Amino acid sequence: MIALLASVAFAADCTSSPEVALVYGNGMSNLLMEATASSYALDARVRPGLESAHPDLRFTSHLAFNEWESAFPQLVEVLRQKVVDDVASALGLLSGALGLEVDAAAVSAELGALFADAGVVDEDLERHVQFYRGELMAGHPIVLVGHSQGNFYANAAWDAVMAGEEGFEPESFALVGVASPADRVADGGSWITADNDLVIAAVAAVSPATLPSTAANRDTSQEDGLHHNFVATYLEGDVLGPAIVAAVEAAVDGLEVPEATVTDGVITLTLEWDEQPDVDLYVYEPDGGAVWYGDTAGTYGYLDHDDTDGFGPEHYYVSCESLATLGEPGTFDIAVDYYAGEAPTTARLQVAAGYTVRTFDVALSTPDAGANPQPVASVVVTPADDGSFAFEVQ
Amino acid sequence: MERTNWVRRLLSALLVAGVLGCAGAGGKDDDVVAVDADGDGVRDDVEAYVDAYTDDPAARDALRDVAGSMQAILDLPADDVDGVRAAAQDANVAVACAFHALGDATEPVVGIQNLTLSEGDTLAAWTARQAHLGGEVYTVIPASERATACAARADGGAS
Repeated sequence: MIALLASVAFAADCTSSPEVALVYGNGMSNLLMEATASSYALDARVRPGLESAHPDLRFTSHLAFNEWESAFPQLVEVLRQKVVDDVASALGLLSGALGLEVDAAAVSAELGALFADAGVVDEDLERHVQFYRGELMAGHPIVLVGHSQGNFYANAAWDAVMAGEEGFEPESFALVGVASPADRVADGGSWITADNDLVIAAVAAVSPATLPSTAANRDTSQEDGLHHNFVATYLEGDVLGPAIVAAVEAAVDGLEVPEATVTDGVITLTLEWDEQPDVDLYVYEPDGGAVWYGDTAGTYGYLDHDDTDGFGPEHYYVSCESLATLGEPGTFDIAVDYYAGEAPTTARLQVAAGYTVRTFDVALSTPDAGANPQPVASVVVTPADDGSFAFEVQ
Repeated sequence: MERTNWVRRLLSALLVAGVLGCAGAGGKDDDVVAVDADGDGVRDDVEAYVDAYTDDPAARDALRDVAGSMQAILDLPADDVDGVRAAAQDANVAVACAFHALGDATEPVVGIQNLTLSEGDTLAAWTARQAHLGGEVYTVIPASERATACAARADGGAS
């Protein structure tokens, strides 16, 4: 069993500069490792220019991982494995796979209906939305770069965040579409699609509302066979790569920093829940003290957002300054209590510590008015001699 | 035609046609066998790929660590949701260290991924575990912080 122990330098997380969250939302056919590598490649490509242009801002990059459960990935896998040369042969293959006569109208109708819901999984989307909402509440505007079907998640997430009761401004959450099979960019932002992208061309052939292509690389020698891969065709493209960088920079230029309603910290906990009226967050700090709605200030952290009549969130944070007083390794134990409600419910705890973000799903059966908080997770903090900390989320 | 019926027909057609390999169809989820003659947690064919990719010892170590982080996910029970999620966070750190060692590690990371999952049973096992990762968020460790993070990892931060 591998234990997570990612180190974070003290100084990096203790600056007061406004932070911008740069997020990559992968498409299908990106397994975890490739999606992770793509998020590092995007960071390497865009961050230097952004930091140079905006020395007053701090940028943090993330991968919002999309796992696909619809038939769409398999459709594209057909294209990939058959190494299609053009859209016509792609459509022929799709028709054959459907077991239908080659009837463009029928295929178009069926695939168009499939693309309309595009396999977005509500539970996965909710976890991303919780992350985006937490970033905005902490005063961090967001630029989300979606690739391929990641654009469906990006659009759905943007819609969900903007529909929330928090009243976030659209200018605080910008989208950039790359190789998008969707018919829109939810915030009205820009998109980049290669003229020779066979996947998007096949989608456009059956779903005419698909966003049109925008440009092509002059040098296509490094592109993948389908001209669809995020890094090979887009990010490393001699035309499309700079276009992505420019789109991200323009999106950052247009961002408005949202008003922070919770306090940022080197450790943050965000608790949300479903339909029942009140769930509470408890944190047992390394010195044994408890932080909860009845005692919101601990030795190290604070419960700065307690919700008693909605779906959350409750929010706890530990600042760099207070963590600096932790002279030896210590553990923050986190528990959740189902205070009041009428039926079983589910809570989601998101733990951010250093460079780790973990989400824990908590099934809550019977309300007990604070009698028995349920342990969920722990954050073990180990100070180092150089002033940095290592965080292990268990 | 109802959507669900259409999707079922499509998937069935693809599986019959064999174009989906064994992904999602394997029943040998707990029997992921690979040759690791030296017992270092990295498959021999992946080790050979790494050695062929770079001569730099630090880069080789970082890429072997990437392979090891993938194998750690595969070694977990398919239904260990929290374990898989924690191991995936560890894989993120391993990828960060590969980028730290190589500058751009996209090609070898994808190469290791594809080689590791090149067999149907392994791909099916990976898919079963990756199903727990939808909705997860991973933070890119900034280039300026990777030396610290990777030194801590090399010192036994991950075991």
